[in-house]
Amino acid sequence: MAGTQAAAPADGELASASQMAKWLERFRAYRQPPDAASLEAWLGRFERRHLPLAHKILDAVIVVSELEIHQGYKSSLENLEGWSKSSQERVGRWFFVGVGSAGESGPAMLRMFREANGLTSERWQGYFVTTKDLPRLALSALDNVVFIDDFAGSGSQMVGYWPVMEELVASEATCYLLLTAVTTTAAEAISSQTELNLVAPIVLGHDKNVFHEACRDFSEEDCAAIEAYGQIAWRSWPRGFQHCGLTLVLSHKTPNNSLPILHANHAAWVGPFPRTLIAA
Amino acid sequence: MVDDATQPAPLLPPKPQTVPTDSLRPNPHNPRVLFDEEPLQTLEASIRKVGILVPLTVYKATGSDKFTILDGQRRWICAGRIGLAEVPINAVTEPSLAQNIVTMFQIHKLRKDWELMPTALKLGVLIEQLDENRDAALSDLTGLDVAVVTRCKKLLWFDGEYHDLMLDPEPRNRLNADLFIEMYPIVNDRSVRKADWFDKKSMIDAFIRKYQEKTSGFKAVTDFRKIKSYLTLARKAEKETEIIERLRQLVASDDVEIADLEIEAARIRREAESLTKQLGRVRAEIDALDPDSFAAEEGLWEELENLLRALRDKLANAERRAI
Repeated sequence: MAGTQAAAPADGELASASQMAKWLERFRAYRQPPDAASLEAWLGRFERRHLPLAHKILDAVIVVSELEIHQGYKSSLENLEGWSKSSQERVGRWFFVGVGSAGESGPAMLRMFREANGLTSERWQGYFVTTKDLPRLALSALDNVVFIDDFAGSGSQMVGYWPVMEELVASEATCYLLLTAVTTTAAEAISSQTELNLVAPIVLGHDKNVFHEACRDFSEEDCAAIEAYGQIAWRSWPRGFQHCGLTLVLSHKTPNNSLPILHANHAAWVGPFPRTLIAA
Repeated sequence: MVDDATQPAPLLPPKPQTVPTDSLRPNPHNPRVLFDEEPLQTLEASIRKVGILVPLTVYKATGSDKFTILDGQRRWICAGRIGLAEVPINAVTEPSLAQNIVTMFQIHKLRKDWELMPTALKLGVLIEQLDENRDAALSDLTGLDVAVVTRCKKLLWFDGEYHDLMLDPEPRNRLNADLFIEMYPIVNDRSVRKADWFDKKSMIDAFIRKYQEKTSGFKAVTDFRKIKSYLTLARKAEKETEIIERLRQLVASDDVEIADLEIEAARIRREAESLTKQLGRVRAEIDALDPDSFAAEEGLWEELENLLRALRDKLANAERRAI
């Protein structure tokens, strides 16, 4: 989100001391927070005339901290109808599934979800299953399956995967998809094309896509420059995966739907929030 | 006044129960079922004319306020399209998980382009619940081809972590079932399994990585057939120890290629077998040749003479006794 105006940099400077201090404070929630040197190195990749644009991009970055993710998972689960840690109050059976195989974000988020909801002890182990376990659970309309992931940018992955999920659930069990954040585009796609009940504390509207007409913070000229730098960062998706154009950073990993100039990490471009900590 | 000759009205069977069309839902055990449009249109025309003659078979699932369709999804789709407010049903008791899976397999034919893993997992439930593991019996039970049952069982042989890889939500990361089906004969080869270095997981992981990264000459899943062929030929040539050592090197190193598994003695055996068959066919044709009919075919006789000379020379070189 755009921050308050900081003092402009002096001639020859890449950013003012107050700007730098503000960014460093806001970005410290990232797993490997950028330091002043790395931010300056990033700013140094821009032509001098584009420095104000680079500042604007950093001002627009939304960092979701681990605490916020935990709080989101906790409140999301607590608000699901029929869920309670108390067996007296819990309705039906509940199963939690990380979306994706080992190495994907879902299983990693499942760990955070368990911690956030105090479900880490062994006695809750039976509540955590993988998609392959679903057919043998003999689910019914009284049961609940909660799929956990971090973010949906376009929704195409979940929409494409839904027929397989549905076949594995194979019942009228209530299916939820718990996310930390979702775009309105993804939310609409998931809600209209699947039977998943979507729950996400952070919903990013079209105005959070820097290339969308609803976004008032970046001019057409800005967008052209961002895309040109994006070509260096990620030739295939210079606006971010599926053209999402976001400035979202999750504490554990920047979504690939965000601008690649923020998360690329290779010889030609290093962003301040690299998705891979070791350069490709 | 009733005429004594009047026949009583024929007894009509009770009308089937009807329920609102929107109180039904398709059977979730097979949501991927797709119906061809043309037969659907034919059925729709028929229903417009005479209504739904055969009631839909449905059940009420535990905890649900809707009827789940066991049989009659096409009729239900047509009723929705026509705008019928109600449809006739025969409500049956809720089937068990195994009964439901069997029914769905029998009603809906598996499409070739479907992901096989969900089907395999359901077959796994049947195998477990019905304590039935024979391919032919499972095929009879489900209506699936025996070949499909066999393929599913091969997938089930792999550990759960590989099932997860075949169910990855991201299509780019999802591993194709064919990779595992083609790999299966290698990981289950009797000579391989008794090798002292054999470790199932290490070998599977190595093959997956090599296939994904296209190392060691892997280009397609069918390359596993070449490995199997090399194993079989080497065994025939009594070179089992040698091929198993080469396979160990292939698994361990990307510098070793699939083609390196070919053992010279096995290659010679394979070529000899092939040549023997070809020569047998040529000999049979020469035996059947009628000299009178082909007397004018000078080129043929010259080639036969060349062949005879070549055979004599080759036999002499091989120090065979003169015939």
